[in-house]
Amino acid sequence: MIIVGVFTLFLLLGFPFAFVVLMTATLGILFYSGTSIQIVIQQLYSGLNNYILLAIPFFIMSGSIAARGDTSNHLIRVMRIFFGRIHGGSLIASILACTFFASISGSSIATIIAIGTIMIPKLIEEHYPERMAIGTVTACGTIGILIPPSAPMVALCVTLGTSVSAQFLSGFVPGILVAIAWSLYAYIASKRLKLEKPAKVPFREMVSIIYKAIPALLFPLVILGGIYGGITTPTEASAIAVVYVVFVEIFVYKTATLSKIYESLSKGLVTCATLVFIIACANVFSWLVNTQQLPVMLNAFITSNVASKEAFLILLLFIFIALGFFMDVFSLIIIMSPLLKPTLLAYDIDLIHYGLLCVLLSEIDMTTPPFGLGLFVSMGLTKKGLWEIAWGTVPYTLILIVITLLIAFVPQIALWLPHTLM
Amino acid sequence: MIGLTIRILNKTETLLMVFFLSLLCLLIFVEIIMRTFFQTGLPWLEEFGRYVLVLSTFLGASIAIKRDDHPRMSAFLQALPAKPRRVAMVVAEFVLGCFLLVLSYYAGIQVLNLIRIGTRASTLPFPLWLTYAVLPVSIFVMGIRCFISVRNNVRALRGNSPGKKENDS
Repeated sequence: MIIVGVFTLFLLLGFPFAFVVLMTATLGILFYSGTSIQIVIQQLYSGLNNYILLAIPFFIMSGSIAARGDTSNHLIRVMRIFFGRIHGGSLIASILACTFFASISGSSIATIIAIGTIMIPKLIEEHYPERMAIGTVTACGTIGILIPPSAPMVALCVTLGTSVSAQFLSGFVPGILVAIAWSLYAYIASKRLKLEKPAKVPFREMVSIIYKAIPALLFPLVILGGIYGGITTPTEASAIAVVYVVFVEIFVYKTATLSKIYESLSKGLVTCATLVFIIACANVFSWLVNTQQLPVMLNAFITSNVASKEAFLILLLFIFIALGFFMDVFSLIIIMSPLLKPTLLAYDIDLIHYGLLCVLLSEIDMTTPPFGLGLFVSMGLTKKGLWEIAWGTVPYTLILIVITLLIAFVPQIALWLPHTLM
Repeated sequence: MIGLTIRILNKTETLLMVFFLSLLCLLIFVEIIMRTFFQTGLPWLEEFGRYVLVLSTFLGASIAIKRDDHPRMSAFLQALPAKPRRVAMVVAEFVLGCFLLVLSYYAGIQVLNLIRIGTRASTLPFPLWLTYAVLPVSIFVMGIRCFISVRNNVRALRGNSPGKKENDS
């Protein structure tokens, strides 16, 4: 109880999450466990001493290089060939470009930057309402973490001890489902706008656009083919992704220079380090709660008070969505997941299913104001206000919430592919 | 002079982080090629990779304090008027700074213990304490950065907004 009180106090005072966890855990260890604070240092270190975790910085590296290079531009041009001429075609092309870029990048931030930088001005130029243009790319860019590879998925797998390959596979079907639902909405919403369609692309030009985009289109094959072809582990695939994207950007598209790459890396890696650092701090916390038997106590408390698996899931989703308005919910998920693990197993909830729900939740969290990482990224890109952008994302976020609920009750949507292939 | 030293330190942190991760990327790529085509590998690579992660995460977390990049819940603070908010920030950062300095002391002790015991890395030719050494250093730097931010906030409270130099650190 005291631990929870201290935790909340630190949180409200505006301490960064990582340090809230670290300080609470240290105080807990000092007062309850009777061991030296030395254990904090050892657990911080051992939380990071993990080869699988390396995939997180690497997938973020590949994403941030590709976001500022020419890869995203080529993807968008291909998508526009196929969807440009239907109602809301440019919106749909943006959504699908986000979806495809998600299979290059492990982060939503990189996806929003990659597609948003190019598409938001273009959509506004084509007379789409500003709010709709920005909202679409902001909301749909969040798909970056749902479609594998995904940095948050790796983080969750490490904290829960599940298989990264299986977790990656679980994102495919829901990701495609979400992209289709969003595209349908974009189609219906823009039918009323009666916008002029872009000019038809001649066949010759079409072939040349697709030809130029081949290195970008091959990306998923390089990453996912390596993992599921049994050639590489996810960590190695992430390293290959970085080498491949640097090669393509420097030697094929010839847009990147080493200094440009260094700049995007130093930005992306700091953000990434904050995520990995939370994992390290959560490791200290989970050492404390495990030695104090807290997960078992929590399990007994929840199972005696919550009647069914469905009620538990609804409660969990509700709490996380509500908290998502005020904080970065994924950090909280990383901290809470080891604590919840016995309860999840007691309710017979597949950890991969839970992991996917968590990823969907943190996607929703990115567009819920006043604290939404995706909104902040778009604010930086467009110099528009937070609430204006947030309004534009509402329809897409609602669709995402409906799909999350659907997947919560029909786990097969997420689990079918990993169960069939693994 | 101090400003220059701080700037060099900042640049070195970022450089080390990017350099080691990029180097590791290349090594992993080379290892896959060696494994696939020449049936040989780099047995020390996995251990090296883990140490690089420890190093780069602590460097990155320390830079993130300077850039205020660590995710936090600011909703409650933002609801406060400007002055109490700044006071709360000063208190929070001061507490955090003290905590980090104490923690860096314990991290230092951990390194000294490892030097005393003389444990060596299992596949790499150096002592294990070297991989722990980044902890006391970067936790200490994080603490100092908190105090610098406290100083800036206190100055702002007194009425004169912080100059450009302070923002550098």
